[in-house]
Amino acid sequence: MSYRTRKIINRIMLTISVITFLIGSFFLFWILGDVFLKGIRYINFSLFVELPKPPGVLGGGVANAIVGTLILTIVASLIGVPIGMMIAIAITEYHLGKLAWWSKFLTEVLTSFPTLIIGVFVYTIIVIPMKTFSALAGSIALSIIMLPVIAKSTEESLKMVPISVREAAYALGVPKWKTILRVVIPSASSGIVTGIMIAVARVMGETAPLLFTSFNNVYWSFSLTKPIGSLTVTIFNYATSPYDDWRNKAFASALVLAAIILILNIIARIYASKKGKH
Amino acid sequence: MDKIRVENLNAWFGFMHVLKNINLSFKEKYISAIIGPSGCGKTTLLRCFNRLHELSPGARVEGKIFLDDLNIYEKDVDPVIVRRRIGMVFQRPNLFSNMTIYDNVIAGYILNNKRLSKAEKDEIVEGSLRLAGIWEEVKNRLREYPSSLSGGQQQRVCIARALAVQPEVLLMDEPTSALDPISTYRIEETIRELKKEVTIIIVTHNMQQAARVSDETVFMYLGEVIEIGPTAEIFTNPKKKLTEEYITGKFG
Ligand SMILES: Nc1ncnc2c1ncn2[C@@H]1O[C@H](COP(=O)(O)OP(=O)(O)O)[C@@H](O)[C@H]1O
Ligand SMILES: [Mg+2]
Repeated sequence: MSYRTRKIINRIMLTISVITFLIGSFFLFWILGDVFLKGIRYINFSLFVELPKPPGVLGGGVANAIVGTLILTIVASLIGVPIGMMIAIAITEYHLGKLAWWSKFLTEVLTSFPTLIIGVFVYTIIVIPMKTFSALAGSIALSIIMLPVIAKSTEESLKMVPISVREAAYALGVPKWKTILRVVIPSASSGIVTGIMIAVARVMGETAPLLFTSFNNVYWSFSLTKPIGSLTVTIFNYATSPYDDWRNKAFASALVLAAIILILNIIARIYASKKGKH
Repeated sequence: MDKIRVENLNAWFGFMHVLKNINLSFKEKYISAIIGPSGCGKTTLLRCFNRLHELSPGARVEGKIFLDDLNIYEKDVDPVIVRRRIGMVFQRPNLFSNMTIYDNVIAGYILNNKRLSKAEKDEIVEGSLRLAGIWEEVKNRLREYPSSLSGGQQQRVCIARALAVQPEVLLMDEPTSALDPISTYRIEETIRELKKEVTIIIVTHNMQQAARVSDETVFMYLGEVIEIGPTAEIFTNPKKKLTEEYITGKFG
């Protein structure tokens, strides 16, 4: 291939990339802009502190859903983060042969699994036996969705830690498990934390699996064994309702959720950029 | 007295036989150099002494290595305990980048959850850095991270870190190969000083270095020990033709 043709092909590829980037950004900003413009007008103090009011009664808020989303996400993280990290450690640090292969395979399958089906799965194994929708079931569904993201990002981060660093610890008479816990994981921490943030941001936006698991609750609930409200399910219900007031609240809630997720993503980026410092 | 004695040692990477029936001994508080062309198995031999070799995927060891009277390859010997008695400095400095210089020096204690008072820590840090000949350079920078140090300084902090846990033997794998001549000179000085404290086995492919620092020299070739003897003798009057050819630079 001559230099000229290569240059032309290069030009074409560059143009295509720029165009796709512009199209992508256009839709992204359109969606964000739309949510922002429609939502910002209905953001007010009571949205954050009050419970929902029945249709037709003006006022009220989605405080229970904000708290519900936080509870669901925190409990999901408490389950999903340690298990996901342990899977990654089993794969990268303890070359457990077949077991490692299977956990790798399963996490990869899980990544591409529709989250709706994960919701149905948790419905059959948790909700039916417990005979009730519950925050616990919702958290478990979210933790299953988090798992592969955490496992993958932790695995990548652990692999970035050079062997020489591990050997430095071994040579000092530090056992392998302590080396992993106190040298390898801290060295990989910025990558691991970034992965966790991205996973958290991802599950915060899930609706479908929650419809089958945590369902909804328009009252305050802090119990893991009872249904619980969440921002996404609230947005879903409000947006599809026939009441103008509810539809406006849906946009306001969407803006709140988008803001939380955006902030998490920004923190994750800042953390990721700290990688390799010192 | 022999500090380390190697009997019929063989080592493999997968099917590759890299150490072939090694028999050797190293005297206590001596500096012994291992020389030989690249790929002859110097690093592998060194890593057999603190049982690091077996951690590489597919790696295998057979034979005996005695540390005093203990065969470190006996079934019930915990490699972790062996590594606390035999320290190692690697070819490239490998300080923990997320720990301060101070914490790096006492990493052997910190990572094993050994409780030390502030005074004990300070004493160990200062003593080890002095032994490694770098106290004056870093005494005001102990709370900095190692990346602020030059390669030569980092390597000397690595030496301090290895010495801090008071090993009986110190293994050094080409500790100056990545360093400039001045850092190299400094580290060689340090090594000669350390002789009073520990038994040292140093791998080098720099023959002048072996001649400068060591009491005894081992010459290896293709996974075998060709000759071992007092350094002066190996360099002036080698018994084997292969040794002579290597020393005089006919190959390498
Ligand atoms: N991790 C490894 N996996 C496979 N072979 C290796 C590995 N490390 C070293 N070897 C091989 O083992 C032999 C001895 O290597 P080494 O002990 O590093 O030699 P030296 O330190 O004398 O240069 C060489 O042939 C080298 O290619
Ligand atoms: Mg080597």
